[in-house]
Amino acid sequence: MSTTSELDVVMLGLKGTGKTYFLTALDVVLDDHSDPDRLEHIGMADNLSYLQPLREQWLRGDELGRTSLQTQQGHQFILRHAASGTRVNLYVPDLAGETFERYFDTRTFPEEFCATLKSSSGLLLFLHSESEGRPELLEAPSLMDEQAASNTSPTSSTGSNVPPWSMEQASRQCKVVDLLQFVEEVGSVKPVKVAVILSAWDVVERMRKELANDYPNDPDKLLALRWPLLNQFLATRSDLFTFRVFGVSARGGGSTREEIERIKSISNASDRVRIVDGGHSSNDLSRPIRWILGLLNDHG
Amino acid sequence: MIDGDESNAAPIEAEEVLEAGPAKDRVFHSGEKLALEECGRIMYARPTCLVVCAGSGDSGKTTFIARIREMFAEGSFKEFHFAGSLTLCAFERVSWLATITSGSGRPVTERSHIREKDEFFHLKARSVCDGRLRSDLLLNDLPGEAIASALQHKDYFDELPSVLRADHLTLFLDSQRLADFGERHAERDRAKQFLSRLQTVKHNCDSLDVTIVFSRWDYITRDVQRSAHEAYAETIEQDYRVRFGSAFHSLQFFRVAARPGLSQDRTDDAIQSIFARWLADPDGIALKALRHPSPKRDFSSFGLR
Repeated sequence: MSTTSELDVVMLGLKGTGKTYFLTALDVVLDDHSDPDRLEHIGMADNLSYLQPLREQWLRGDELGRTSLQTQQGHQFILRHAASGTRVNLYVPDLAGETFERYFDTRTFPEEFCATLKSSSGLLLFLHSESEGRPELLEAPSLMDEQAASNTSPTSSTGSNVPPWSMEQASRQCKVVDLLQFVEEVGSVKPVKVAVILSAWDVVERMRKELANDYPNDPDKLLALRWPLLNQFLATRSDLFTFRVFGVSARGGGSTREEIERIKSISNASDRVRIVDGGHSSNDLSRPIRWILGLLNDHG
Repeated sequence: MIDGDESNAAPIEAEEVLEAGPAKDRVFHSGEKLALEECGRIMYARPTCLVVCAGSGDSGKTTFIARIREMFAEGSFKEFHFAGSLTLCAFERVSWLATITSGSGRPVTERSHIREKDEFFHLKARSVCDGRLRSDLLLNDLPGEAIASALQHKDYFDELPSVLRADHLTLFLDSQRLADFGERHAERDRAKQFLSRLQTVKHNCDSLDVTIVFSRWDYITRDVQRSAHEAYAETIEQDYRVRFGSAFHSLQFFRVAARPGLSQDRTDDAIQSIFARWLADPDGIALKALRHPSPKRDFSSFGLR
């Protein structure tokens, strides 16, 4: 008789990186029982007050609202991996991106979040596919102020009109790497498994037709191109982290009227979803979770 | 496991775990430059390479350090990959005025203040070539005022523990001053005097690696009298080699333009070569061996023990 494991997976990401979309689309996709190698629902959580309204919005093609800053949301999934006979009760908390920004600003994690991290099986780290991790440096002559450029001093005093640097000015890449360094300091089990989710992957697939160099059709390459500091940090600290990169379109398209109509016209709602990693492409959003839980058959 | 990994080493946190207020939040490193005590904890835990960047005010020391982190952040560093930093916010701060977001209109750098003389940037990097994690790097951006004071008063070196403990000294000669016939001799002399004074106050100078950086080199390459200025720099190089070539463990010269003016070539390769020089010892074995015979090289230099 198989036993049921109680597991947590933590979603970490700055605001607007698609955490709630992922959670909601995952809930829909888990209803698919066609492939024993996927994770699938085998029960319903007692409390659906958080996810059920989101699920209905998602199915209607509506945009999901921002996650509340006031209370910790999350959802309990009751799952089975039929191929291995594994049963999992998986809890995934859903913290607002603003919460993670605040953790970075204040250089703190609440003890409750530290406890969740310590007991979790791994991290889902969310980045938006269109976001730029690299610093936007003043290099192109067209971006420089000619009058200012004629000044020969390489340094500046704070007397100028330029606002001083503050925590919120930090680049996304800096914030994410520092948050991972916090995680590393908290975590008791090393290496921490990090599934990097590049959200809104449909944008990449659309943009690469015109800008193939800026939008490589491979999540690993996009991460290395746009988020080099993060990519190098994860790759060089294999003693602290193991990671795998996934391109995910959890909504299935944009939010224009035409896009919403197109999304709604797809007869099987879970077919809106797309996940890409390595040579794999499907709608199986359980892949990052299965990778974290050690249930991913790479040949599948 | 790759050699050089430090799975069993102490975590790289620099701050002690503190309880902040009733919510019992876990407090992490501030992200700002490290104080001596924080550096001491890192040095005690792991092999560490301490680099002092010294030179006149406005000679481009901070810009040089900022550019190193920028190259990691934009993915253009060739020989090393980023492996962590406790001072990412400090790095972001010094690059702020060089970003489009700041609205500064010109890539400049906030100059360091004398109060920052005992503060350090922190970096960890892994060699692309051999895949090994290098010693923690502590970078001290010594303000120009500190150099001026140290030249005037020998005793002031006692207030510069970073210099006394340094494994590498990277000394900046400002090319804008070298291209100014009224300033160039003073700039040359200042660096020479500093190195001479250093020999008298620092133990184990023979283990110190010295790098001379002709910084803001674009001021020479775009000057109408470029060849004369280049020849003057060459003269300085020859003079210093004669004076100091055997006084230190090594002495090398580089020409660097970390943020050149419009249409000027940046010298990222030279900056990367200097960085590679800092981390040339993959295991920090030489550093550890050097520390033990001489307490002056260890924490006593910081006045911590």
